[in-house]
Amino acid sequence: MKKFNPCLAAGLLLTFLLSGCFKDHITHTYRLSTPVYKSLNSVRTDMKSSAPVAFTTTGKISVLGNYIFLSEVGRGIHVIDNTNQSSPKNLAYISVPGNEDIAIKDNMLYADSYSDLVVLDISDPKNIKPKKFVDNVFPDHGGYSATMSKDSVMILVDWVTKDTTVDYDPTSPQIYMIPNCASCQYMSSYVDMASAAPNKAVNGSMARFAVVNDYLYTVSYQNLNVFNVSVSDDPTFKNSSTLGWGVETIYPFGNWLFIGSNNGVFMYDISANPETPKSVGQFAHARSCDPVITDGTHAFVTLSDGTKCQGFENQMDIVDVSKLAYGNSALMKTYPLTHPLGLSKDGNTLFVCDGADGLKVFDASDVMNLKMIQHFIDTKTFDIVAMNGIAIVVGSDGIYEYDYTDLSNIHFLSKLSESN
Amino acid sequence: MRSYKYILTSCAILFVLSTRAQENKSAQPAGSKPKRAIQFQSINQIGLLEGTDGGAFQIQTINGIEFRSWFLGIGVGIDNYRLRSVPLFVDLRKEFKVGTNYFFIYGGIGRNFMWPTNKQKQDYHVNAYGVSDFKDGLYYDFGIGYKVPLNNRIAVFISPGFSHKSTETTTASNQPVICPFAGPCYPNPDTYKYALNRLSINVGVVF
Repeated sequence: MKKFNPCLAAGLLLTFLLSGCFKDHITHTYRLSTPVYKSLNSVRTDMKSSAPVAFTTTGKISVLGNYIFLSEVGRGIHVIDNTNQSSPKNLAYISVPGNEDIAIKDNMLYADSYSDLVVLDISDPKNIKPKKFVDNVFPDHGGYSATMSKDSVMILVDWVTKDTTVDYDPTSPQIYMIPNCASCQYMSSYVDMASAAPNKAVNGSMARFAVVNDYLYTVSYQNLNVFNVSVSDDPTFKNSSTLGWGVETIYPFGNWLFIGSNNGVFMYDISANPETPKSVGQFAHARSCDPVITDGTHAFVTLSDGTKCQGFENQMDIVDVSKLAYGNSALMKTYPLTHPLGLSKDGNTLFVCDGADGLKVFDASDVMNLKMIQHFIDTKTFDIVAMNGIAIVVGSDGIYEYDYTDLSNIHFLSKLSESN
Repeated sequence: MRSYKYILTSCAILFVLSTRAQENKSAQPAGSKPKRAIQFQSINQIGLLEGTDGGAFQIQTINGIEFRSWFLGIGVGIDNYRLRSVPLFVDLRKEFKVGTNYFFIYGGIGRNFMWPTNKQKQDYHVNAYGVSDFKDGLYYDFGIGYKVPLNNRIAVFISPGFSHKSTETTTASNQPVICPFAGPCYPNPDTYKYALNRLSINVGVVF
């Protein structure tokens, strides 16, 4: 063996002891977001058909004839030509900052843009243009002073984000990593399947806008608003009533409105006075997110957990509403699911968007004994419109279509995810 | 710095052991155990890890083969510095004879498997607010040492060195936790990366 040099050893030891290497190095990487503003006038000028853009955050859906209108949550509306259901085309895009909900009557599309209601003429889907703006009718979506000029009202239209990494003080006594969760919005919409006519728009099942005859009903966090749309391009605000907190969805059926909230389903009668809906009942459940649909006999309520609703239930409740006219409703059965959101029913076939567990199709001829006849796990599903043998599903990465004309052979038809 | 006290204490112990070994020299020359070409060797050590977060103990066992003055083995241990973990690593050592004792250098590299205590998880909000569990990371160490044979089978040693382990946490990607305006919520990409660099002082026994 070589002779050991003690000086070398001492030198190495000193190098270790005197070096500044023995420090924890902790980095914190987070997203830095910078808002992009435009004046209200400028935003409204840009609110028209433009070149199609790729989907980013898919939201609520409304189907009118061969066209699908899909909300790009908080940003705008995609217009999709669905003439060929095996190959739908992304036709155009309308910039509508702050948009979450849409509804259609005749050739007018109603959309929220923060606190405003926007009426868009969609008679030519390639040349959509605004017809009217109703100012500040949804003040809980970010209202502004009516006395302000439209040039001085600044609208948040986008965020520029970049990931930023900084050193974190490792001597900090405790590292708290509580994320910034302010008021997470959750998306919703609705389906008016039972009364769907060829030329009538059908919404997805989680909407907060619903058109019934000459009235547009909208729900916000705690209010039910009524607009008269007998002149479809000139909606007028008529009424607003307080329902309670946590209102999420509205679903019209016949002369009733089914309103989903965090704590239950409210049922309103609009037969006598459509401008002033009358409460006829309530079905309470544990705190959860809960879109609801009905076939007039049964109400199907999906409950899901999540940040906004703070619930822990993931299930579908079936409620007897056959005696709703007498103020009676009763829970019939509960089915456990993974994370159910939107749903749709066509005849005895029930479609449920079960979040990451995909799309589930049930034979609902006996609601006490639902039988799953098909299960697609193509995408994380959010909402659905099922009619005329075609199920249009809003997935996290685009629009999926399935053919269910033959219930023994329900099959995938197409996926639209880019601006094709 | 507390580590200096440990160094001095360890040096004193080693000095005593070294003196005792010298006394036994006539009966059994230290380090003169009959060497086969390749033989199994087990290194078992406890140590102090000293860094920004203060001191913590570690325990390791490294088992492998010795070939002439080289050693190659697999090590596993428990590292309780800041966040408890289990390093699993490959260890390589080279010895230099110094009289009847040995000077050695060592280095190891491997994976740092996180095994935080419930208290540590609670302190760092793991599984709350969308914070993920700690992820496994890199482990490596290197340093020098001084080994004193007690007889032809057993030796004791002290080895100061550098020890590194890393881990990270992120917020769960399926939780929409940033909602910049009425509209879409985005996953919060918050990530904390921990590169924990410590002075390590180990004492142990080799057989």
